[in-house]
Amino acid sequence: MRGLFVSDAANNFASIAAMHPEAVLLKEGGQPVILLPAFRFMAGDQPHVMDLLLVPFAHSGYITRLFFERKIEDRGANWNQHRVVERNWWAPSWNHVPEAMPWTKMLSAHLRAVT
Amino acid sequence: MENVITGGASHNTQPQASRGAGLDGQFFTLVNGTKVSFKDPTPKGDHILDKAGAKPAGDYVLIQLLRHGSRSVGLDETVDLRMEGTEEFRAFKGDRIFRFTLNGHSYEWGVNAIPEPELRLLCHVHSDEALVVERDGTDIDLGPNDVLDLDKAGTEHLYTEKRLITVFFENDPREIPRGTYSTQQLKQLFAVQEGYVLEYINNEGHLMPLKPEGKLRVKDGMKFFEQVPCGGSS
Repeated sequence: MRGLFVSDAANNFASIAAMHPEAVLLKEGGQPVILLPAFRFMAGDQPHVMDLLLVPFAHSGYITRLFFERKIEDRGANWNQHRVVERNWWAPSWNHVPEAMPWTKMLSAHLRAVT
Repeated sequence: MENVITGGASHNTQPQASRGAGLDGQFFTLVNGTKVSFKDPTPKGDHILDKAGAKPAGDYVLIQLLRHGSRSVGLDETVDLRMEGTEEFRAFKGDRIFRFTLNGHSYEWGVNAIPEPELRLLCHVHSDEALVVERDGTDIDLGPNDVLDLDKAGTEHLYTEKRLITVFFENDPREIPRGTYSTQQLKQLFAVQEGYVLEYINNEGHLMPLKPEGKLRVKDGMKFFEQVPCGGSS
């Protein structure tokens, strides 16, 4: 099972790196997390560029999480600050994005919180 | 002003002296498709026009066709017919020169309009490529019945694109005809499930959802993703 997990992570990371070539695979508590430096996305029809951190496993009471370098005013609900991979991040309250989802889709589903 | 001896396969490459005299010992070129011969390998522009029957030469514009471009030749400008890039010329009655670029290469022309088929021949554009005129926001594909109008102020800029382009849906390559698609057409093309949102990475690199009633000019290499309608504020 461990081998299968590594393979899934590798495939998932390859896909998210195809989407965002600067993606970096890191580990938090022995599990993979994905740093997306200077990721470009839209929030409320406004373009944003900031580092994102996708955590594809249960974290801080949520099934999966997406952390933002900065809080986006007037978008998302109940923003809180967290410390992950030795760095401070912001995250809105956004739950029920499944762990089994491919990482590209997981990222996109989390970005719905600010669209 | 000194005469300029010119050949030139393009503006960017050093011309090579690769053309010799014909069997009759004369140097030749084509003007409007007709062979014109000279004893002297370095005729001036007006001599070329005169020999081609474009008289008086002062009433004509002489255009030299290059591999990647075309240029006007002055009446007193010397052309070295031993150099590559001197194989073909066009003579136009008139005194104006019209300019355009294709894929960054400069072209000069002697009339204010070029039908698409002629433009395709002039610029060596393959049949599997489309000719596109740059316009802010909405570039225009030239069809076989279209005519490129060069009479407007400024220089027209064109580029070529493959007729079939490769785009990526969830990182899987898909070959589709280039063009403008509605969001609904793209969702059908990629078999996006009802209720899911189609996103793409726009020219500025932003992951961007397509609006339901939107349209998108799809370009080679464009990346699309589907957004699953899940998640919620807890």
